[in-house]
Amino acid sequence: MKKIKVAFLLVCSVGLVVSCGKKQDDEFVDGWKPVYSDESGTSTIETKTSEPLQNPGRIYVYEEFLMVNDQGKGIHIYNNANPNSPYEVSFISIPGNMDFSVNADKIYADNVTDMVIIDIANPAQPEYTNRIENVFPVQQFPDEFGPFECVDPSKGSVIGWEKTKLQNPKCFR
Amino acid sequence: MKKIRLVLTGAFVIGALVACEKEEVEVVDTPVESTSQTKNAISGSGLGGSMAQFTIIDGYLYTIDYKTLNIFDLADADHPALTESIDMGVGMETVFHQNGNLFIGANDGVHIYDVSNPRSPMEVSEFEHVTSCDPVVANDQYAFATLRGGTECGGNLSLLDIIDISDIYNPSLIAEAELTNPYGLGLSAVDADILYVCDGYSGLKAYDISNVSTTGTADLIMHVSDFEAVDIISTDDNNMIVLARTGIYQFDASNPTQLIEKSMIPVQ
Repeated sequence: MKKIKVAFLLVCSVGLVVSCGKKQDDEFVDGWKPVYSDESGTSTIETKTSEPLQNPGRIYVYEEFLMVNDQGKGIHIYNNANPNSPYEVSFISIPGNMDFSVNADKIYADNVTDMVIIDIANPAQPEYTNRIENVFPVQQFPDEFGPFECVDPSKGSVIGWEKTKLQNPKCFR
Repeated sequence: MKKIRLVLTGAFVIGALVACEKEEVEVVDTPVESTSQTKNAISGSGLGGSMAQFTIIDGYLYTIDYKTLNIFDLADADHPALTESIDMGVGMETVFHQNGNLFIGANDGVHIYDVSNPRSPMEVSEFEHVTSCDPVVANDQYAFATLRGGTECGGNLSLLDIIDISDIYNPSLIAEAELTNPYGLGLSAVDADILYVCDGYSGLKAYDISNVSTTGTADLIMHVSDFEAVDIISTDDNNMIVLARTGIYQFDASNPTQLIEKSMIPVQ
C-alpha cells in the first residue's frame, strides 16, 4: 500500500513537473512587480492636502477620521464626521508604507525598513516627529496573492508593488 | 541524478500533502495561574481592519511581518522602544486582539498569544490548518479565519473556519463554510450574531453565527456582489466601512443585512 502511495505521488509530481515545463514562453499573466528605489528619497516624509486614492491596502478608524493606507505610498486622512460625505484633510506621503496604527494622536507607520512617527493632533497638518531605524525587514513579496516578479536586492529596496503582466513568473504567493 | 531528483520531488510532494492534511491542535504552553485581568479597553488608539499587521493594545504596538513579531513600548510616544522581537519561524499575515489575546493569522494556522504581560507575549495555543495566508478575527467564544485555496497546497477549496476558543488552550474546529476568494472579515458591531466576510470578487457576505455549534456551519444570510470586497470595519454607530477594489464604501448597517450605501471614496 505504501509503495503504491509513493508510486502514485511520484507520478503526480512528474505530472506537476511536466505541466510546468509545458507552459508556453509567451504566456503573460496578471501579477505584481516590485517598485525599487535608490536610497535617496525613500526617507522623505511629506504632507499634501489630498492625493488620489490608488491602491488602498488598510482601513482604520480613529475618532471622527477614516484613515486609508495607499500601498507603498502613504496614508490618506479623511474627515468622516459625516460618513455620507467624507472628505480628505491630508495625505502623508510615506515611501514603501504598507501598514500603520494610531495611538494618542501619533501615527506609527512603516517606511521601508524604518518606523516613522507622525503627530496628527491637527490631522490637516500632520507633523513628522521621529524615525526608528531598521526595525522592519525588506519586503520580499506583495501584500496581494498570486504571481509576482521575484525581488532582486541588487536593484535597491522595495518601496511598493505595481500591477503588471508577467511572463513566466518564477515567484508566487 | 535523475533518480535523486525524482525522489526529492516525491518527498516534496509527500511533505506538501502531509502539511495539507494536518489539522490538529497543539498546546504550546501550559496555563499559568493568572489573576490579573487584562483590560481590553484601548486608550487612545483606533480600530483597524482584519488585514492589519499593526495593532496597539494598552500603549504597546505589536507588528508582524513574514518572520517576526515585534513589540514596541509607546510610553514615550515619539520614541517607541522595541522591547521584544520574536522570530516566529513562520510567515505571518495578520494580527488581531481580543480580550487580552493576540490572534495571529500565520501561514500554518492561527497562533494565539496571551499578552497580559504586554512585553513578553506567551503562546497559548495554535490551531493548525492547511497552508494559507488569511486573516483571523475573534470574539470571546469563537475565532473566525478565512483560508484561501489555490495556493501552495494546491487545494482549491476556500473556507471560513470557525474555531471554538472557549477553552483558549484547546481551540477546536466547530464549523466551516465554503468561500470563493476570501480576504478580510469582521464581526458586526450591531448584531453579535453576524459575521461579515469579504469574499473578494464574489462580494460581501454576512453569516449568522448563532447556531454554529449545533449545525456545524454558518448560514449565509446576505450576499452583496456589486463590488470586490477586501476588508471591513463595523462600528457601533451603525456605520460600516468596506474596502473594495473600486473604492471605500460606507453603509448604514442599522439593519445589518440590509445595507444602505452612504458614500464611496473612489479609487482613481
